Amino acid sequence: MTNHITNDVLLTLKRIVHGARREMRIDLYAILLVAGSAFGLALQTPDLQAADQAIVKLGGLQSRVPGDWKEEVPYDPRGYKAYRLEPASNDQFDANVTIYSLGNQPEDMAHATSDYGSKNSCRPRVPPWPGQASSRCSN
Amino acid sequence: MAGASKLQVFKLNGARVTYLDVDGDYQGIPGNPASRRENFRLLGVYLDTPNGAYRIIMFGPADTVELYRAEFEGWIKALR
Repeated sequence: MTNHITNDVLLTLKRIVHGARREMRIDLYAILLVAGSAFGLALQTPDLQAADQAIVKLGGLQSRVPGDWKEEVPYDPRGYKAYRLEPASNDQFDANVTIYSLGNQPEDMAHATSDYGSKNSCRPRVPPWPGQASSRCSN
Repeated sequence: MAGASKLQVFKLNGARVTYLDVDGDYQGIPGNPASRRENFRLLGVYLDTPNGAYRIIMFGPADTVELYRAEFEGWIKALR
């Protein structure tokens, strides 16, 4: 009788342990799945972000900038995007690419170019080219 | 600005592109109007789309600009 009870207890214990092991295994799979997904996302997200950043949208058109262009904050606050290009071996200075948004309507243009081009301004509607003198107010 | 310049105008997927290529010596660079830069080059694009206008400028030493010129033109022509 005691032996029978002992066997029942052992059997119950085995079932509990087996069930616990199976649950642990399922938990382990879940943890591995979540960790794997998170790792995969962590690997992919910067690439996706970089890919998004590399695409420049200009008035409904878009194009991916070359990979060796380093995006930076435009030096000119009127700039929309700016990129630095490493100098050729014999050059002392970097080159750069700057994109200015000039807007669509005159009002937009004034907004996009800060104080340039406002209706009552004597300044030009667009920022000057490098080396070009800005206009001065005559009054 | 002393130097040669070239100007092209062409259509690109509904946009009008005016492409200027100027090289020479520049007096007054962005951020430093008193500075002189010799043998520099400017590639300028005026991109006029139905949804807005943009000015795109590549500016730098002539050799460096030449190094990146094909990329720049390819990037512009790839606008879709």
